[in-house]
Amino acid sequence: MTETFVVLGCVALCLGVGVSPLPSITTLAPTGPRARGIRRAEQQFAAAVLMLATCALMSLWLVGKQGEPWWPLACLLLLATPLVHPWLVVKWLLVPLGAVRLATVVARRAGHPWFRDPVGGSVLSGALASLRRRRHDPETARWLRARLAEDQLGGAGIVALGLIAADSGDRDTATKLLGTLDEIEPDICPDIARMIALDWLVADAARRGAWHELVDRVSDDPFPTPTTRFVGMCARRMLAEEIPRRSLVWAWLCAPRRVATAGLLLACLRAPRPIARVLEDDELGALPANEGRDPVTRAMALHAEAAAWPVTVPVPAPMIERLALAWDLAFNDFGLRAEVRERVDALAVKAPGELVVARMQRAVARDIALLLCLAGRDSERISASVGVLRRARELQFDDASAQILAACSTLAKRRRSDAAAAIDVWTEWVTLRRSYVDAVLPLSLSERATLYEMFEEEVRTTAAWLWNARRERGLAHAMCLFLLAEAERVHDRDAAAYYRHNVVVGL
Amino acid sequence: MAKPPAPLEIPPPAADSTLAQRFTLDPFHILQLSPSATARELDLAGAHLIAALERGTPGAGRYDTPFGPRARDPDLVDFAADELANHERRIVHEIWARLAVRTTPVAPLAAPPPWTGGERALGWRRR
Repeated sequence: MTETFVVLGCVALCLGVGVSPLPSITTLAPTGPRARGIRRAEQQFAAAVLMLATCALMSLWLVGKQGEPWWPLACLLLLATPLVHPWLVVKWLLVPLGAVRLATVVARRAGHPWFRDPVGGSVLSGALASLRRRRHDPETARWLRARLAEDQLGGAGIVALGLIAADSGDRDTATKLLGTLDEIEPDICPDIARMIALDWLVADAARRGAWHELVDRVSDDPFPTPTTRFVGMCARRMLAEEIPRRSLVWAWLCAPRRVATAGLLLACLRAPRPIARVLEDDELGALPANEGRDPVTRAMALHAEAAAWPVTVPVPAPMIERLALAWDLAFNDFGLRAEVRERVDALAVKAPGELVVARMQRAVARDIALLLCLAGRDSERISASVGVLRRARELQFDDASAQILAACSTLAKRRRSDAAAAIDVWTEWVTLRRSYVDAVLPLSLSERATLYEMFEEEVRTTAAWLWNARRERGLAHAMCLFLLAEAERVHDRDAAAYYRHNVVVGL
Repeated sequence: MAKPPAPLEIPPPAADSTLAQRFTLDPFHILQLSPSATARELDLAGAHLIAALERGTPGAGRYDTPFGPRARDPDLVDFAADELANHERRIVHEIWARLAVRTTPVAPLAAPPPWTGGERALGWRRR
């Protein structure tokens, strides 16, 4: 009876699909990526129904006279399922074995979960297998990159590019590439590609001890995997947040690889309870910076304190404000100026004493500019812009401008080269994007608008080139989305209207 | 009988961050001179240190900074001598050298430790 019911169920499914309404072409472009993804999903669904019905009929034909036992159907399904759903073979067999080329070839036929980016998904499967190998093979990496050129680049392809870079040891490029999926349209980015990217970024941040960065990444993600949820909770506990032990253990139980991650769980359970802070950040910023001591020594002591700050922890904004205030007091101190003038005379230095103090002030401002970069998002809280802090901001703006212009020039050169590949241009773009995002964080709105003007034209040209010359509509769309967000942020209405139109046109 | 503790390895100043190097690469600390040292004292200290480093004199390979001891080599001594030969830069270094040095290693500020085996534990790599 089992087989009969299965066959009848398959017929009912076919009838159900036949009578269900088709999506309207007014809401779904027939040649668009979403329609192509739906067609691929329908084909695999039809293959699954056909396989189920065929197995049931074969079972009936072979052993139907013996009372229709259920086991022949189960055996046939076990054999036939990998043919219709090869991703199971790739995930559980080929990737763990490190069979790069076979995983790529089989995943190309896989269908689910790569409907939205089949070529990128197959290369991503190969990249995952490559990471499991004991040695990096540059030839295999080149072969994988060449496979990506077979079709337009989608979200899975970008993740594959990032993992290939990570496999070759270029973690910086990998981090930049994997961090750009937010602007990739969901129609060309499979959910599993996003999950893989987040998993890698989380593992990399944990390896570096960058727990603040890890918490930011996981908290920004609306659908964390069990692994990222567990590691994210561990990171928050590492940063002395109140995470109940019971919740931590439950997250660990829900996540895979429990034996391998038990060490992290124990380390977090042993982590000391959060220490009540004596001074909050705001109170620290309000404290006087002179404290009645020699202002220069006081400023240098604060400078040393900031220099000793761990690189994996963002520098608190009040610490920078306090340091800048202390240096302002030191540089305005008549004692320091008189002392420098005296030494200038004693050593017969040609430069006047005021110039020597000004050069020292510039050196201090450069250090504070570096601290502003290390403060990350926290630097947005610094509102004061006087004295040495103002000089630091000016230096930082100059550096950021030079950096962005250089990155724009590299992007333009790459685009203008004869055999410019979309993936190379995209890699240059993510470098430029990262430079821009890092540079504008501590800047004021007007400075941000100036930087935006500097790089907008080049990015717009590149987006147009990707759209027209390379038919990489997904990548061009992502760039327009980024430019739109920035145009709205700096209140550039004309540019915002232009990019809004481009984004609405879609893929 | 308990084994004596292993001697702590002294880090080179090149391993410090850019900000910390302002203190650990101060020429007066490298040459172990006070900011009021004369030009002759500077020359003598440089020559004496290079000779001591070539001979392997105990203690010549380290100097104290506000961040604790750092490793010293002949290149570092040459760098310090060159810096102080420029009088304008010397005046600035005199100011920075005011901060007291520490003879014992300074423990870095407590930061949560990294999860070094994380990538392997999460299945990202086998090597």
